[in-house]
Amino acid sequence: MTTGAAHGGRWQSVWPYAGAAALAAGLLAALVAAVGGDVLGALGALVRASFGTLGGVGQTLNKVVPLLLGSLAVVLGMRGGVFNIGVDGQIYAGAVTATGLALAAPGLPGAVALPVALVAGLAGGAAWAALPALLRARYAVSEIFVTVMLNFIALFGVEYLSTGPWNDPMAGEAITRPIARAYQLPLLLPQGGAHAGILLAVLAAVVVWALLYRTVLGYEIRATGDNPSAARLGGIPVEGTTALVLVLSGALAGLAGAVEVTGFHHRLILGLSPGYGVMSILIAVLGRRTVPGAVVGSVLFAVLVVGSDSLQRSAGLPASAVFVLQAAILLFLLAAEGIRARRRA
Amino acid sequence: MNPPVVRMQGMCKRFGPVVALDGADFELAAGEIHGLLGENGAGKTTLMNVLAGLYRADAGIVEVDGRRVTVREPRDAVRLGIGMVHQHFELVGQLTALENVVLGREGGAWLRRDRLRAEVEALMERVGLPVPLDRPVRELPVGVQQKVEILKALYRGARVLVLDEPTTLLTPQEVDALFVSLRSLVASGISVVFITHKLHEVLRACDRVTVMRRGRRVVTARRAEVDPIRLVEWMVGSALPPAAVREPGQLGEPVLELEGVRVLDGRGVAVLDGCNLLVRAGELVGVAGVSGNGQQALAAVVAGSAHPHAGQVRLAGLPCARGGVAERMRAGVLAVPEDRLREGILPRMTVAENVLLGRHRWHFRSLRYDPEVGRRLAREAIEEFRIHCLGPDAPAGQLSGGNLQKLIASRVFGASRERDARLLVAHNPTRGLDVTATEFLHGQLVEFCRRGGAVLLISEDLDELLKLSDRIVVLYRGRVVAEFSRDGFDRYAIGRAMTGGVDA
Repeated sequence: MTTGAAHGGRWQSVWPYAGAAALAAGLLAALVAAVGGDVLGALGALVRASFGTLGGVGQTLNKVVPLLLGSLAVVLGMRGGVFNIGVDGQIYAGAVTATGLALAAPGLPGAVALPVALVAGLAGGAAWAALPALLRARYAVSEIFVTVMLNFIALFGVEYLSTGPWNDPMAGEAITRPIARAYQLPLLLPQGGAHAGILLAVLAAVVVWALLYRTVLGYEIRATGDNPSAARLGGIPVEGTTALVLVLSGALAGLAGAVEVTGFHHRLILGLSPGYGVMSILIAVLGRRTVPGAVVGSVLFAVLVVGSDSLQRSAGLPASAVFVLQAAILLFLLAAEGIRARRRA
Repeated sequence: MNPPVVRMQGMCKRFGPVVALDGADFELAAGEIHGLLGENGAGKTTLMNVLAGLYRADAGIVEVDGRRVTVREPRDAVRLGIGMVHQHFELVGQLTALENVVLGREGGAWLRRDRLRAEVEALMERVGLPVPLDRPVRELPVGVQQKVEILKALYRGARVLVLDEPTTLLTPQEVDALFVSLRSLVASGISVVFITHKLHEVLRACDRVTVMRRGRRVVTARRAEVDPIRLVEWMVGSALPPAAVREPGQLGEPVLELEGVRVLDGRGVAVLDGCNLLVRAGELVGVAGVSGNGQQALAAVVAGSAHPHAGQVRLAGLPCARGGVAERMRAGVLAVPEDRLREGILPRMTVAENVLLGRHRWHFRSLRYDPEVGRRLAREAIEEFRIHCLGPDAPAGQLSGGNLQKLIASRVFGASRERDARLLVAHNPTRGLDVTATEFLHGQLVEFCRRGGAVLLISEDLDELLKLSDRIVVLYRGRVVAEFSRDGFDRYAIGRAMTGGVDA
């Protein structure tokens, strides 16, 4: 929109979001007041916790990594006409392959260990997406059902591994033994605790964008996603392209799992993905299925998650109230997006 | 003198940067059939959509029976007695005609079938528009479905009936029947607006005509005052390019042969059933038929997007491999798909990316995609085919129907020049195109033939087939039931074959 006439429209499209922000702030104030907290203090703490301090920035950056990789996976899928609801399962699959490798070969030298573990994560996620991809391409089975089912399988598989063969007997919970130092991602901001995964995530964003917009394969992916019938008449092998997209999408999610293991937890834990898959879908939708939208959306979500988590400490909000707040804000944002889309029409 | 039933003055409507209505005026007198004529994008449908409450005008005055009204949504229009029948019907296929007519007006939670039936029968009697009420609508012929749509509007109390391009899908016989029905509607006090871009329909059916161009009214005139030449001049604003003329050329070797081809749809029903067909180099074979008699399957099986379950498709004498569209394109087959939105266009991608579709396979030798290639091709296409759009980077979904069709045509003819194309399959290639664009496209088809290409033209527009074809074959229930050579063309005989009538 570059014409003069669109300017009025631009402001029109800001209003819904402003309304959503106001509603969210109002809800936050009401929740804090309800538990007898200091409303303004809580808002200040929210800002400080997510990007006001070095530690806050580090936490936020670490949160951006899985959200960005996950939302890139969803964006790539959507562009190619597949709805990957299995990001969570693929995150766990990538985490399992990376952890499994690290536990099986703890002696691998540093220069090799980390890259191999990350590649293992990519491969794990890709393999987890390969079954729905094959079923969709060969038998037109909806990937939505298959990926959702595989989420459960991955989750229970991880439960088995983390409480069974890979369990850390010292910990007494559903977590595995730690991985060797050679497998761990270096820290980027040692004071803030931010690991180098953010570089991988940003690199992945650039790669996905370049794939979509600067390769012939990317053109075919976008054409397939936009209108498979037209793409088929244009000589594009639609089924194969769709399958490939889902596998690549799974690989990105698998990388997220491997990065969470090698960068953050340094082991496989049962709660590795607190719903990253669902959040990734929301980010992808709110980001209008674009790579830049996924980047911006991931940062906003990370700020929201880190900031509102801190309210437990600063304002004494119970954890469940924080979840309510997060969910409500997402709902407001989705509603705002819907209103904006309707006004444009 | 009575005020006009509908008067619209200074109507303006923009869609983003596109000006669809630019101060358009319109008056409909009581009890007349009023033709609304214009090229694609002239604003005919937009103007009537404003009247029907589907769009809100940016400016302008609407009066009904001399009183100023505001129409904000379709409900307001219904209350004012305005009903519109769109090009694509809005019927529920599984429901009966009766159920469709009363849909949304059932009156209460219980379906009081006897009372509703009595009402609808009385209505049919009054306006002279009988339809079988108890058959599911999807089993009815298109012409009858159209009557159901009209009855639906009348049942909701319409006194003003707007018909958007109502003859597009009809056979000649059905068109005749429609015009008779419209006369009896008018006799019962209904006023009719008839949107069209076909001159002879205006001259045959209308009392008055309003010609629109570029969102404004050019003129309103009585039928007696107009003739085809003046109408065209008003529509296009200048004289037309010379019409494409078919001169029977030298016929070459067989390019496309179908032998006993059988195609099943998703439900296992044979949509092509023992279809035989031959097209030679330099020949244009027209396929006539009422929509739904296997045209889609025929186009798909030739283009390679569907495979025959039995029988054989041969290209230049060789049986086709099952390689799909890509393989067929390599063999020199190009297709203009029928349903441009469904099969031809990538709506969320740019004009440039759409112009490139299919051709990207030979325009990029390496893996690297260069957006400039598409932009360059798009600029050429916009220039040559006069595609109205904001430029190569505009989303294709914003283009009007006619411009989308031009975009697809530019892609196909562009490809045919870049590659050694032997066969062109075109399915309703000019549906929704205006006079100028239709002539241009016909010229391209003829030129393709003249250079030795073979054309299979599948069309529901009989005039188009009569004008361009060397031979016309009639497709009925999945097979070719009649064949006419150019010196034996007979509009009514073809029409009878289209409806399955036995005719020698």
